[in-house]
Amino acid sequence: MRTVPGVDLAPCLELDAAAVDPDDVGPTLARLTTGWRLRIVGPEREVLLLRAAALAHGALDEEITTEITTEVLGTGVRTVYCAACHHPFPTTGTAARCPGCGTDLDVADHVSRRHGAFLGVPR
Amino acid sequence: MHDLRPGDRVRARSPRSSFTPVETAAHHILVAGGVGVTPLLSHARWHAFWGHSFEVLAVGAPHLDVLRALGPVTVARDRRKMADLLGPVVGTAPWKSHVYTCGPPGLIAAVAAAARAAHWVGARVHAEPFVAEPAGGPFEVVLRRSRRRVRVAAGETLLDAVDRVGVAAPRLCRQGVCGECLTGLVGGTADHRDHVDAAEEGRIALCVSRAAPGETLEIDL
Ligand code: FES
Ligand SMILES: [Zn+2]
Repeated sequence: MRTVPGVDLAPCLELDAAAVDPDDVGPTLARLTTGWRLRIVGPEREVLLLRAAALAHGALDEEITTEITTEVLGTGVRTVYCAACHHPFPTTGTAARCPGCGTDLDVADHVSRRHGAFLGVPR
Repeated sequence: MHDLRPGDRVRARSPRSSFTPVETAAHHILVAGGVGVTPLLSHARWHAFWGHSFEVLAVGAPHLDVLRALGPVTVARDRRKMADLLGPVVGTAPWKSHVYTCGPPGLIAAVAAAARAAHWVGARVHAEPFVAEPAGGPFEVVLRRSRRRVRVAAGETLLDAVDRVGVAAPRLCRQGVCGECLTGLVGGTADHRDHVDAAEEGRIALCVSRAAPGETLEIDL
């Protein structure tokens, strides 16, 4: 746990996004008391998915900090949420064909907190 | 309104409240001071009906028998005892708890302080004062960064006035308790009415504080 001299820091649970399954985050959080913070560290895609899971389990934005370890933002694997059929799928780059419905998508810069995914806009 | 007669049809909206239980909470802590118990009675009935986890901390509150029939109630003899109770309750509350206080501003401030000491974020702390702050007269405020001069009417808050002219300002409790709306006070003497010592930091709580009589304020907004 981090300490800052003279500052009474909130207790903080560090989560390695590459190692923690988003489905397991509910029981993990249920063991905490109110006042804890979450710090989610890892590659962009896993961090966004884990943050979305934590929010779904009642964490508040103010209680979560994230650190992306991917070297250049947006260059790693990202989850894209197809605007046509709502299928989420991983991809790299700025364009992709949706494996759910076959639509050609542009990957927008808009990222959804709830889905932890970038919006795929049909061309 | 005055033109209505029996039998007329009117449009109505469903009731609105700024002091409602948070549906996603895992546990609700209801803190009642004196007759501030009134809205919390409704909360307690609601939670008992739906089987939500909740507890009541009360100081000088009536209707304790009604509350006790609904769920766990802890009674503090006075405000000081209440402060002693709050620390452990807030400090050990399960993940996803929310606290709701209805009572005098001093009690609301005590709960906010306990929650802050236990590292709760402001969004989990809710309050409704039952003693309204006395209104004040009109005054003017200069918004330095937006380069505007705004007249705050009697009975209007500084925050309302800033909203009215469309300048964005943060807020949460609107009761001078959370500190969210504190803004730098660059000129003029204020009548500080907050409970977070804004004056000491050279700031002003837009939600409750006003200009001292005859003063014009200048704020960093
Ligand atoms: S909004 Fe909370 S102190 Fe003003
Ligand atoms: Zn699709």
